[in-house]
Formats: sequence, structure tokens, C-alpha cells
Amino acid sequence: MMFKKNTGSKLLQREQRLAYLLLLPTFLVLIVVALYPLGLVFVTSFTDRTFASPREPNYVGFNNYAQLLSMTIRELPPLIDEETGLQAVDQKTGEPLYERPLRVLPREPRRYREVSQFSFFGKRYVLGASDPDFIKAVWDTLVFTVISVLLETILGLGIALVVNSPFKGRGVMRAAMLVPWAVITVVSARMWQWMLAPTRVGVINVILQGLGLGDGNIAFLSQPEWQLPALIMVDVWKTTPFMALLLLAGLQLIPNELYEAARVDGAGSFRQFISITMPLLRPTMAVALVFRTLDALRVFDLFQVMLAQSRYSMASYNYYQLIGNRAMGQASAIGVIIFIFIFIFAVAYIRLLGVKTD
Amino acid sequence: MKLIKIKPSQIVAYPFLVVFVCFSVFPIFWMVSSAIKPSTEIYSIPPKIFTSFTLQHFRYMLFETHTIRYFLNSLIVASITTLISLSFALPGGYGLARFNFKMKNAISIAILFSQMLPLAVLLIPLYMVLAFLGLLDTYLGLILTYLGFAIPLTTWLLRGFFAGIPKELEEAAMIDGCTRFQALMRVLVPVAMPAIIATGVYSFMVAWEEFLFALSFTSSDRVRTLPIGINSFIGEYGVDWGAVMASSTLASLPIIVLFMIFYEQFISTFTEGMIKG
Repeated sequence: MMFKKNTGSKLLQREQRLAYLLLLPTFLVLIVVALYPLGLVFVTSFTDRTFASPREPNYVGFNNYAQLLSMTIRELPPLIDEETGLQAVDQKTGEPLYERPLRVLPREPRRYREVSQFSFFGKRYVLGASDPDFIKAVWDTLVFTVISVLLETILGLGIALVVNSPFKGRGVMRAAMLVPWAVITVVSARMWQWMLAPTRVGVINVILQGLGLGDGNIAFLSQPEWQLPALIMVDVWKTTPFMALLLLAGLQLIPNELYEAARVDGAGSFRQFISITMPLLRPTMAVALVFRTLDALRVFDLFQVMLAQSRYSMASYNYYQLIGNRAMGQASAIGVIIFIFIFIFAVAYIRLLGVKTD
Repeated sequence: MKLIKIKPSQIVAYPFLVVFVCFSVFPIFWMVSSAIKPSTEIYSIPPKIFTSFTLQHFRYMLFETHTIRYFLNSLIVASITTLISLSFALPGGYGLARFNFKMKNAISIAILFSQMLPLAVLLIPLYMVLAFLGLLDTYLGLILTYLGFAIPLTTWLLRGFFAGIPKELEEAAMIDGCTRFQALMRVLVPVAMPAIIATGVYSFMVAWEEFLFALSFTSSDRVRTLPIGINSFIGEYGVDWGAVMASSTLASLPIIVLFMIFYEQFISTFTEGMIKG
């Protein structure tokens, strides 16, 4: 007994050493280009460090985070017309007028600026933030992520279901579908920017006009209400194939016998979809959703190339703070906040959809 | 004559697929067609689909700009990234799949975590690391940063593939007198070839398309990669769309060719590795 155990543990030790040796290169690279930089970002986020500056950085505690995340809601009092004693009304539009947000929002200890206004129970409020660009970037990134991932999942599932059933020309369809995924992001951003050109040089404007939509001069990339929809469309174009591919692989893991048994029992195709396909596809769906969501939350190239800093995603705002303002401490704090967002999404998905981690 | 039976679901499915394929392929078609239209016709209103054919944009791009240099830079950086990440991920994936050891969970989590980092966040510290190592504006510097996101996923995918190969296969080879290393190289690697090819294609693609690091860590034409080149055709009179579309076509070619050659391997490994792994 003793003897056996001894050789066993020796062998185990040798195996352990071998395993560490095999993983050593991978681990070293991870330390140099991921773990150490991440630690550095975390530390820097508590300082007022400036990029490429000789000044010694100071420790500022949570100041960077407070500057980025401070928000407040204030009521806007109505403007009173001095002659009538009633609320003043805009001469042209007939809309009631309110006090300017600048006069209501606090200036100490930090200066708040307007993010948006809203009405609630007949009163007018303003949402102010000390860094309204960042708050807008967070909101835009979340909207972009939720809508594009949702669309990609629905479209991807539809395509996967169709392609999963045998039909003529299936191979061609599969190959054609995958092409957008092979086009690199900068190229797809450029290509769409060209197609979305704001005059009738742009093919999208011409097509829309042909369908009776728009006047042929829609500035998709500079009119605020069109910016996000345009970016979402480009993302859907590029990544739906990936989603369809993953879901297709998941569909092919479902044994055919289950469907045959269901048919024998008289279940229709809708019933089969609800009771067999959806539950068995859930693990695949979870993996696909995690991958896509984490990717979408980090979106950078699309915003940077197509919107040319007229509007930011979290990551492109980070880049702007770093390169444009050289505010390294601030940029680091943005990085940590993005990381926390991604972490929350990842944990929520794993909990909700039950992804196996091992 | 056999009648083709059309199910009611297909009446919905076919148009849906046709529309989707058009949506997928049209932009590519438009890119190529804009690249071979004469400048005068690119800006015609409304745009024409079929015009006269010219190679002026390709000629301009190839002979009067640095695009060829950028293309070669991209090729060098992406190929070396692929080779190194495969030679790191092969033993790494094997180790994770075959052995139980104390740090296994910690390493697995580190690998997954590194996939969650936004690249923009790593920009400053990586800049500092590269400056410290004297690797700014060098091939090696770019390659090192690309390895950071190529290695984790290739390791993960190969781990999944190795875990699916029965242990007996290499044990039989070892009984026949092979060392573990020989067993790995002679028995496992041939079996795992499709997965190795697929992860290789993936690494290549990642390095080929990367934009942010290439923009930030390179400054000379000697090292700059193609995505940066494509983004810089902005002249005095705005964007030179003919040149942009020609270089975009050039940049898409290698990936599409790789995809066409290794389509089956890529699909099966990538999907199975992500779902089962």
C-alpha cells in the first residue's frame, strides 16, 4: 500500500511539473500583456496622472470616478411672463418655457451640465452630470449592445433554423452568409460609410428614396437620430453570420430522435420548437450571447471610424480622454468602469442561463 | 417527373433567406464595383451599377502610396502572430486538457478573463510596457500585444479539441516506446490538424484586422499595417473613395481566400470548441 501510494504521488508530481511547464509560455504572455496592464490601469485610476507629462502624479482617491459618474436631477422652474404673470410660451412653437438648466444645476463641488430633460407629473426636470459626454457614451453603448445583440440573436436563430433543414442551394447560402464575417471591421466601417453617404451619391439614400422613404438626403452619420440605428445595422450585418453559425452548431447537437418521437406523439412544428428546440438550444444560446454581448460592450472601431468623435461609445470615449485630453487617470477610471460593466453582464448571463464553466 | 413538395414553412423561409443573402453580399459587391469605377462615375447621382471598368484606383494604390508596404507588414505581423500563438497554445491546450493540477482553475479563469478586457483599456499600460521593452514601432511589439488576445482563445479551443480525443491514443504510442513529446507530435497533432488549422486561421484574422493597437503603437510606414493605411486615404478634398475601396478589396482578399480553403475545418472547430468547451 505504502509503496503504491508513493509512486502514485511521484508520478503525480511529475505530471504537475510537466503541466506547469506546458502552460508557462501562455501564462507569461498573459501576465505581460493582460494581467500586469490591468493592475496598472486599476492603480492609475486613483491618480491624476497625465500622459507624457513630467509632473509627478498625485493620489486622488475616488475623485476620477466621482467626476465621471456624478449625476443629479433638478426641477426646472417655469419661466414667468412678467406682463401676464403666467408661464411664458415660445412665440414660434407654442411650447411652454422653463428656466435654463445651467442656472439650476449645482456648480460646487463640481460643475454639472445637462444630459437630458424630461417631464414628470406636469413638472419639468433636468438630468445633469459632471461629465455628460461619458453618461451619454454609457447610455449609447448600452442601447447599441442590447438592440444589436437582440436583433442578431433573432435573425441568427431564424437563419440557423432554415439552414438546418435540407434544401437546394444550402451550401451556397451558407458560404454567402459568412462573407461579411470575413470582412475586417475597418473595411466594413468604411464600406458602409460610403454607402450611407448623406446625398444621393450614397446608394442607401437612393434605395430608400426609390422605396418612397426619405428625401434622398438623409445624413445617417451626422443626424443624431440616425447615428445609432446606422451603427446597429452595420454591426448586425457583420456579426449575424457568426451568431447563426453558433446556433446552427447547437441545433445540430439536438438528436433527431426527439423530433421523431414528438411527431409520433402528434406535436406540431411550433410545439416541437417550444418544447424541444428552445430548451436544448439554451446552453448554446448562452455562450453565443455572452460572446456577443461582451464584444458589443467593448465596441470601438465602429464609433471611432464612422462617427469621427461626434458621439462616443465607452471605449472610444476612453480613447478620446487618453489621446485627446491626455488624462490618463481619468481614462483608467473609464477602463475600470467598462470592465465592471462587462463583468456584471458576464455573471448575470452565467447565472440566468446556467453556463457550465468547466 | 418528380414533383417538388413545398412545405408552407418554406414559403416564408425562402424569401427571408434570399433577402438576407442580398443584405449580406450587396455591400461587398458595392465595394468591389466602387473600386473599379472611374473617379468621374463614382460620384454620379444616382449611383450607377454598371459603368466602364478601370484599374486606375488599383494602380494609384499600388504604385503611388505605401499600401504594398502596409500589406507586407500586415502579412508579416499576422503570420508570425499565428505561428507563435499556435506553438504556445498547442502545449498549453494539451496541458489543460490532460492534467489535473492545483493552478488549473486559476489559469482557466485568467484565460477567460483576458478575453473580457476592452482593448482600449489596455492601451496606456501596454504603451508603457512596450516603451519599457523598447518595442514601440516594431513588428515584435505589435506581435507581442496581438499574442495577448490570440493565445487565450486558441488555447481554449485546442483544449476543447484535445479533451475530445481519447487518452488511449497517445498512451498506446507511449507503450510502443514513444516519449510523451513524440506521442504528442506524431499521434495527437495529426489527429488535431483540423482544429490547429482553424485556430491558426482565427489568430491570423485577429492580427490582420486589429486597428487600435496598430494605430497607437506604430508611427512609421516601416511597421504600419493595412487597416491604418485604409483609414488614411483622406486627402485635401475629402475621402478618396476609389482608393479606399480598392485597398479595402485588397485587405479582404487574404481572409476570404483562407476562409474558402479552410471553410469546413473552421466551422466545425470554432463552433464545437466554443459550445462544448
